[in-house]
Amino acid sequence: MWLTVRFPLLPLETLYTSEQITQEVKQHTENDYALQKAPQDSPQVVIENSVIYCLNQSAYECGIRSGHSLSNALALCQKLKSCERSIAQEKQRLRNLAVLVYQFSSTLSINYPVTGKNESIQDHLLTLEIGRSLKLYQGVDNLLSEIGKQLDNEKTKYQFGIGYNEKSARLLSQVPLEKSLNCLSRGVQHICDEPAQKALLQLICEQPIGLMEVDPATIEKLSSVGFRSINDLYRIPQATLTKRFGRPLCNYLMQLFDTLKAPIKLFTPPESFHQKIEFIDVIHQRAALSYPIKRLTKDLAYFLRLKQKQCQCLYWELYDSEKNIIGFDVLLSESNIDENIYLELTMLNLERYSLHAPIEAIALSVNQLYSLNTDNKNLFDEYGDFKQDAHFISKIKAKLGASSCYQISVHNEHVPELATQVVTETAQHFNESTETNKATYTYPQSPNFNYGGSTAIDFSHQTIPSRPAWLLEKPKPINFNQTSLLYQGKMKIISAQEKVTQYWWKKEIARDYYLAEHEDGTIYWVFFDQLKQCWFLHGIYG
Amino acid sequence: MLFYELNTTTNFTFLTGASHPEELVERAIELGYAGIAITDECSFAGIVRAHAVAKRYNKENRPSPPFKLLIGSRLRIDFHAEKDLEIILLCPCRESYAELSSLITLGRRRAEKGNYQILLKDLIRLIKRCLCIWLPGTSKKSTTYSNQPPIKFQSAFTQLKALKSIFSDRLWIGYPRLLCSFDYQLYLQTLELTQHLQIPLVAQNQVLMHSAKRLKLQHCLTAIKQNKALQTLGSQLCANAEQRLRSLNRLKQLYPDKLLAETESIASRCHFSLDELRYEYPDEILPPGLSPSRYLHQLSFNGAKIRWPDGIPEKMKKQLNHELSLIKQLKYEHYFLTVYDIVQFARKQKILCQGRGSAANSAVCYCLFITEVDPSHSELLFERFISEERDEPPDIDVDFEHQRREEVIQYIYKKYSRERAALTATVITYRLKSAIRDVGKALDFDQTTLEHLSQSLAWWDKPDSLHSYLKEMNLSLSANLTQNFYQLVMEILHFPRHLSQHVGGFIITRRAMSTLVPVENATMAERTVIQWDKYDIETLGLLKVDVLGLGMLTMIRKCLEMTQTYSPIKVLADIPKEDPLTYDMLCNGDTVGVFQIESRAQMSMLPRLKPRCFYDLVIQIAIVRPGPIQGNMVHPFLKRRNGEIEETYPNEEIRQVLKRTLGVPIFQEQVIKLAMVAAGFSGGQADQLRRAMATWGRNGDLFQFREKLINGMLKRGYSQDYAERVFEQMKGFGSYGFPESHSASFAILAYFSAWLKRHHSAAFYCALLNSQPMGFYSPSQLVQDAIRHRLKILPIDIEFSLWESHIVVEKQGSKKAPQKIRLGFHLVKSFNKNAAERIIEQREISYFKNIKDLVYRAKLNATEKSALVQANALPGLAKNRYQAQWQSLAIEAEKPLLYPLDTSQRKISKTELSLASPTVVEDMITDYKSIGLTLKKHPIAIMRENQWIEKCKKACDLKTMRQGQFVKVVGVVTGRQRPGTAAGVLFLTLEDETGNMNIIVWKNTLDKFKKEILTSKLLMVKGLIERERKVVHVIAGFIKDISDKLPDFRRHSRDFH
Repeated sequence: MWLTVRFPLLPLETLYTSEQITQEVKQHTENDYALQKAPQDSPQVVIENSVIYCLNQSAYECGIRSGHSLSNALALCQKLKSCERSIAQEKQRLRNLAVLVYQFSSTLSINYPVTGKNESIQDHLLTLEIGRSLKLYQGVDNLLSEIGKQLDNEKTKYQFGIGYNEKSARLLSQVPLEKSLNCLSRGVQHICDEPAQKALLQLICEQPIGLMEVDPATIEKLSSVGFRSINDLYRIPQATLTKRFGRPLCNYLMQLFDTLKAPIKLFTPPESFHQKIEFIDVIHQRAALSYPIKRLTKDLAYFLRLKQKQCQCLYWELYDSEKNIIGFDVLLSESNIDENIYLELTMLNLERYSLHAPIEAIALSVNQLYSLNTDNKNLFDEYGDFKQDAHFISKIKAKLGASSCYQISVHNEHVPELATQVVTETAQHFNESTETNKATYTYPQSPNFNYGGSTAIDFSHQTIPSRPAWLLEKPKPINFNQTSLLYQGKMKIISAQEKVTQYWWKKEIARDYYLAEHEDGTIYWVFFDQLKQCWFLHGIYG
Repeated sequence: MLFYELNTTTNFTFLTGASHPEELVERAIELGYAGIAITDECSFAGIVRAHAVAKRYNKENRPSPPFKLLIGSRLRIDFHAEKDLEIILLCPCRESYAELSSLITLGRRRAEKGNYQILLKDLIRLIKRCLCIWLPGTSKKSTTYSNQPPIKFQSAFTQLKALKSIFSDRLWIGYPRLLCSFDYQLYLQTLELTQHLQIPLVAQNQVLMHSAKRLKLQHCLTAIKQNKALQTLGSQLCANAEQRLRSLNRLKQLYPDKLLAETESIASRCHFSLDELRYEYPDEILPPGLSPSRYLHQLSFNGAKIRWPDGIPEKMKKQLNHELSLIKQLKYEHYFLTVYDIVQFARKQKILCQGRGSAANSAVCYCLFITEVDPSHSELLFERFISEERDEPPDIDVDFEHQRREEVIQYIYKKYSRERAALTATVITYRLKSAIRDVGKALDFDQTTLEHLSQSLAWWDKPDSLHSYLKEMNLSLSANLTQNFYQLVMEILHFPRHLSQHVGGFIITRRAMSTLVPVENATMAERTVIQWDKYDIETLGLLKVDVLGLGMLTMIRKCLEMTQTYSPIKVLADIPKEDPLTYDMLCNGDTVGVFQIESRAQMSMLPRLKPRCFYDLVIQIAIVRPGPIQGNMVHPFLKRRNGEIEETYPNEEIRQVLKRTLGVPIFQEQVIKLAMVAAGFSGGQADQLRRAMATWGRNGDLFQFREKLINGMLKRGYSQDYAERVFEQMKGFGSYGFPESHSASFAILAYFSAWLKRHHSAAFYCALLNSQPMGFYSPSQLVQDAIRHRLKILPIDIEFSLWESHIVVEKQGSKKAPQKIRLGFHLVKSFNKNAAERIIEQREISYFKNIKDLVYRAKLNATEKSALVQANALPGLAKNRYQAQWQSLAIEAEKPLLYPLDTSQRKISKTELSLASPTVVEDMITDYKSIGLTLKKHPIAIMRENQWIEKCKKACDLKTMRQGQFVKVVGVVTGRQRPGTAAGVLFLTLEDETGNMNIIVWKNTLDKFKKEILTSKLLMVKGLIERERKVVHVIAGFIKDISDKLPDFRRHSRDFH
């Protein structure tokens, strides 16, 4: 006996779970938030190439249907929320759900939506053999209720379908479950014996041809001959059908009627753990992160228990709104499987980081799993193994705190403070533009470059690089008396002006940069702020 | 010292320049520049606009020396496999202009639309006189300077050496001082290059904008061009606003004097002005030994003899002579002869055509058979369209049958060659919606917000309404980003986005076109367009001929081809004039398919206006337009016509202008004439006013006339109120108003098509079906209307149908108009003409015995076979379409080896199955899917018979209902229309088995039933009857979607939002 779990709203849930989590985070931090309307009630859609792909009940009630264009949908509902479809996230979520259901049966197959030449599947599906688990759970009803509980925790919408093989279960998952249950032979448990199989076949035959997992063109062809239900096809000789509608349809029907065995690709749970939660709204407070962290560690613990494994190192990534990624390892002195310890250690580690910008997403990865009984070495047993720098750095970070390790990342920007940023990240953030700032130029002897009769400027410093080696974190206001700039002594301008007018989309910047030579010989980089009408010191040449 | 800016990119280098050419010239004048060179990248598209401003300034202010506009272009040249050599070429003389124009043409023609490719050898071959400025240091992918090291010395050296050998003393190095970190290094580098190679250095500023205020827009354009959010572009954006026109004092501070002075020495070598472009007419149109005027005279009077076989009326003779002398004086003979030549070709090929446009309704055009509008019946003054004072070419648009226009275009190409004939361009500019989309994307707004915004805006919304929409969407107006968004959208409006092909404006030259204006590839294969649009051509006084396509002409020609088989009506001239029966039909509003007066608004107006003569039709066409409607002219006119209000005129002058339209200005010409007689506008000013009206909405020029008009009228003793009203009417006219000449040209086609509908209805509907897509109604609506006119429509059948639909003549030789139409294969979706011809050819040999026989003999592929089956076109070969499909699916694609040996006997396949017959509903639904119409029962009739709907009134019942009566109707939605003039009202058209129903949905009802109205195909409406004489509407109060009664029913409505 086979069971199919169909997830009709998975694309929507994948994207809006993040929103739900954001809401829950808020509920934990702001008490009054719970009074607000739950997000599921508002019309929501998932779009793919500006066309509605998946929608919730509220959106349906507004008259929106899948296949509508986004602009048409908006015409029907001004308050519509839409998100672009993320196939990768959907797959990940279905895999996570598969891991969840895996405990009920290890004969499990997984199907993603597909419209191909040979088959067409509309929703995300999990199909599992349940005949062998019936005894353990004392019947279908108990089993379904147990699976249902797990899925309810995930706040996902699902439909069950029961059949005598994988294909029939998949088809019947589009029909109310009671109908299939009624077909099963009633005894102590519902079972799928021969009479039950016949009754299920009868039920299948009553269904419209549109429910079959064959490509839309074949369905169209079938209806052009007047076929409406699967029963219309049942009585037609196989050769006759193949001649007119092709081999894939016949194969499908034979598999559906159980006269041909369908190959099944079984699901095996992944060997590593990776989950990411994206927040629709950003999170400002560190404390508010505890909720998503708790959720992720709980999922990890579940995953480990399922795999009968344990782990030693959790790798966290926080994505902030300025596109920085803060990554840190949480190292456990001993392998274990306790979600509370994960949470506690993570929160402790997190305290060492100052969050410069609001957090948009959080991810947890565990790549190395150990068997429960393995005698793991202590962390410091590996001391001295410097071969893997990255690993070494994470160890140092875990011990000293990541705030002690810095990396300079260079961006191709005109605004100097944006061009170089200090980040707590690994070497990946270096980009090619680093090259540009390294260049210094040596050119022939300076000719007399007179600026329209005003003060002739000495260009003996032409070999100075265009940007100083040391840029102040924050420009420092300096004074200007009528003749010279003052900063711990006098400075005079020794270069031509460089103008930077930029960044208006965030906070407008309009600066005139100069090189200034201090009376002690130091060369400074100063600018006149056109908006504030005053002078600032911004960098020092080495 | 005089300074000339030599490197200026306008917004005609699309998504790069951030100022209009006009703005750049005006700003350069304001800053005291002696001149400016417009040097768009491989383009001359912006130069005419710049030229017009410079010319006007010089004319009005007579500065000494005059402000100089230099013509040039910036080019990136493939030097070492990539576009790394960047230069500016300037035109010192007419010949050099031709050289550069040819080079641009070559580069553009070589690449796909929007790109170009120029090689160094092209420079060597084509450029002999142009001046060249080498540009250092821009990064390869953008026009903006980044903080990259400026130039690679060695490659610069090689490039300059190569250029030196081509240009010798016509070569400069252009040094830009843009206040970047590398300014000084670049200066040293360029200085060293000049010393090594003996090439002078000149200042140039890489100008992209006229003022620093455009920096944000320039950043935004760069982001749009790169298709990225500007936040991610970093140093690809301009570092600062220095790439603008800077004041002379500032430039003096920035550059050594010598570099500035060098600009003057370059400019002093340039003497070319666009005014030198003299239009040279093609010679082919003249027979040898005849002067153009003699030939035109001869043709006109020969034509007149045919037009008036009983002798040319004296008045017309005088008119002809007058027009001919004026044409001679202005040397426009070639133009009339060129149009005549094209029209002659069309007439020989039996392609119907009709001239319209300002000069088209002249006596000369009538005698040359360019138009059918008889000038003796109208009071149009020739001078109004072609006059000495205006000094601009006349305008004749010629409409050809839309399905055969391509033949005319190919004729022009063949006659004058592709080198000498090209289509004019249309500059596609940013409109509100495209601006919102692109600017929003550049600023990284999310897609839903942008979709929301463009969704909220309708085409009639004025740009300012964006503010209120932003507010509605809860976007904080004070937020930095929202403010920037709004400002940028406003700035980018009307910016050119790309060049497109004009629908049919041809320009023909004597020499190669590319020496006059660059030619580039159009999107359509084998089409080329010039880089100027019709306004540019008008500015330069060049002649263009409009070759346009008109569906109605196709329909009329096809209709006449049918009528001549059984009646004496062979050509348009055979159609009797002023037929009362035709006018009776028009007064009843029975005009589905009639040209120009078939829309719902026109149909409602007809019973009120009651046209009884040709001129009434001219008015009818012009009055149901946004112009007169917005200007509140419709009701006053109707009241006067019905004698409810007396016609009054402030004075005799105004009476002269307005008397033929009962004192209400309806035509554009009247409004202009009114400005002349009432506000004292001179001929020239009136002409400016005409242009402003034509482009109103594009640049808002009209407002500059407001004060002048009102003051002028007040001075002449008119009331303030009257003056304001006249201006309001003028505003309403804008581009929507109709000139009388156009209206007359349309009215004649309206009359012809109405006459054909009244007297030869089968041929009329048949021709309409064969000319689709055109007009207001779908084939389904046309067929329903034909059935209501008691015509018999026969289904598509492989035994009888032709490719097109045809009339069925009952008895050969009968003179009675036939009453039957056989639908053609053209209606079958996914079918083609070749397959239809193969079927016809085979059926003439012998009948088809079965489907297999049909498929093999007519060589039908799977798609063709399936299309025919779906269309139920095989009634003789199968019981029903299911059976036909079942049989056809079993036929193998390849013909068996022994075929046709086994066709002698009719074999029934063993696998033939007795399938259920399709139900009435199934049949109807498949009919709509496969041919777009059904000849079986109307969906509403089926529903009514099966009592799936409660008792509702039929469309035919509405005519007898009284005002204010409650009514319940059901129908298929065939049209939704929300005109901008109707304050949020939606006009819904429902169709049932007896006709169309007009439903009016007021705004509050619309808001309430938006979902039903927008999504359903079948509606039930409860409401109240609103009637004015024969015009009946239903004012909707309650609307219900009843689509679920016919679940698979699909029919598209024509929506005009």
